[in-house]
Amino acid sequence: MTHLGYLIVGWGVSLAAGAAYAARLITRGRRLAARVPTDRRRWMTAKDAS
Amino acid sequence: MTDDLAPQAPRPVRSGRRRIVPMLIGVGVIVAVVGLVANLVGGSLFFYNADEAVERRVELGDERFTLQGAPIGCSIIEGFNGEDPVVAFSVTFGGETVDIVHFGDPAELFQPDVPVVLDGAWIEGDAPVEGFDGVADDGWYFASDRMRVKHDNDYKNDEDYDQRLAESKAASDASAAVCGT
Amino acid sequence: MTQTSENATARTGTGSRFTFWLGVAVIAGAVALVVLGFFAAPADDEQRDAVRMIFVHVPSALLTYVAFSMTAVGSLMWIWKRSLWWDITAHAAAEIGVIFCALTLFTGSVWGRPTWNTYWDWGDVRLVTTLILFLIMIGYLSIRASGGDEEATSTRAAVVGLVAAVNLPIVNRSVEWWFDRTLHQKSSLTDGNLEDMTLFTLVVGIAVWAAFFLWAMIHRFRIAWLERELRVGDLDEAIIERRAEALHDESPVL
Repeated sequence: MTHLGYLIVGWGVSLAAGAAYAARLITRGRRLAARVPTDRRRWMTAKDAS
Repeated sequence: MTDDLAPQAPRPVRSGRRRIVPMLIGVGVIVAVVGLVANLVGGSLFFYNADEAVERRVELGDERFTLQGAPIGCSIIEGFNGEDPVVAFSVTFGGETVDIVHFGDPAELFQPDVPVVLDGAWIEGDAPVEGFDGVADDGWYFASDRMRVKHDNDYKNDEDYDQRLAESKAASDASAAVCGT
Repeated sequence: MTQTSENATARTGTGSRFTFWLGVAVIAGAVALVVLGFFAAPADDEQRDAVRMIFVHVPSALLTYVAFSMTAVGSLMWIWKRSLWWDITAHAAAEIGVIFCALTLFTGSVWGRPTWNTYWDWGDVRLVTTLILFLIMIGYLSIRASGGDEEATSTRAAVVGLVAAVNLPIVNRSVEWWFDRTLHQKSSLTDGNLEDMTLFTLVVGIAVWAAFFLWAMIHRFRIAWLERELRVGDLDEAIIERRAEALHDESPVL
């Protein structure tokens, strides 16, 4: 395969950036959710909260 | 309503130092955007197509400018200028042809019929590359020291390579007629 | 709140059943995209394997337009209707859009080296207008991060979001309007000629990026919502405390 180095850098950075951002969203969300009462999180169903 | 009545940690108050960082970023962004716009307006990459470059040859004189054209396959000759690599070829656009001498390595995707964008200037005289006649052969050549490739958005599978090789050979035969060989 | 329900709350975070399965679909789609992009899609007869960069570059660019367009709509709705929902949507889309825009610039630059023979050209209209868009949106996020009065911050950010929107069609149409001022080819999707598996893989790439965008938007929106709830909660507590202090002050001194 030609240009493999360029492809690995381009694809690698794209996928890694997406994964890192996703991980940050999840941890940030969990940290915040622990501080906000369940009834003030509109998207949660009673089942999720139990 | 929550049953958790334990006092929560107060939200940290944003200090003056923490506020100044976004403000500095904002100022930096404004400066950068103004600089980039000024650069674009004042000296954007602007290339003359081969036919326009020939038409404006007198006006351009020995001024550096950027030229675009598609290399003619049969005209390409690679050699050396002393110890430095040099490639001579002719490009065509809009029915006009320009002889080029590029000092340096050609771009990786440099190939016949794929347009190149070259930085350089007109020079009067014969191209100083042995064996290069040039399709234009009009007593001028464009001396280039920077080559970029401007490929198009026509993506073709390399799976049909044999068929395209045949097409390419036909095109090569046609361009050989242009080169007079 | 009991220990068990507290743990459940922390575990759930900003996720829901829908976002869980959407996340699974994104991961599966990304794996499929790697397989398709590297092994199923053919090389290009001009660019050879460098063409495989199209499967990450074009989806990033498309989602940049989508995200910043949402920011513009959200900004407009904030200015017009003072809609908090749209204000949060605009902020969430801007943050995700900045990531997509950075990836567009980066993958384009990495793709440019083997194909154009240069990583960057400061005079290239397409490249520089995209960089300007990126910088304006960095400015948008810095306004959001600057704090202070919330309404004023949202309004300032909304104005910047709308200014950025003016640049969107310029970036998109630059390859048509100034074809002699850019190395960039015209649109691969609308004007290009993409064959069979290359087109299919590109469509898969766009679908995966779009699914990720939706997943990230939902989570980012909820984070912004939680942050606001916390601020409001803090304010409520402060008012209660202040009232308690006032009652204490008014009580007769014996």
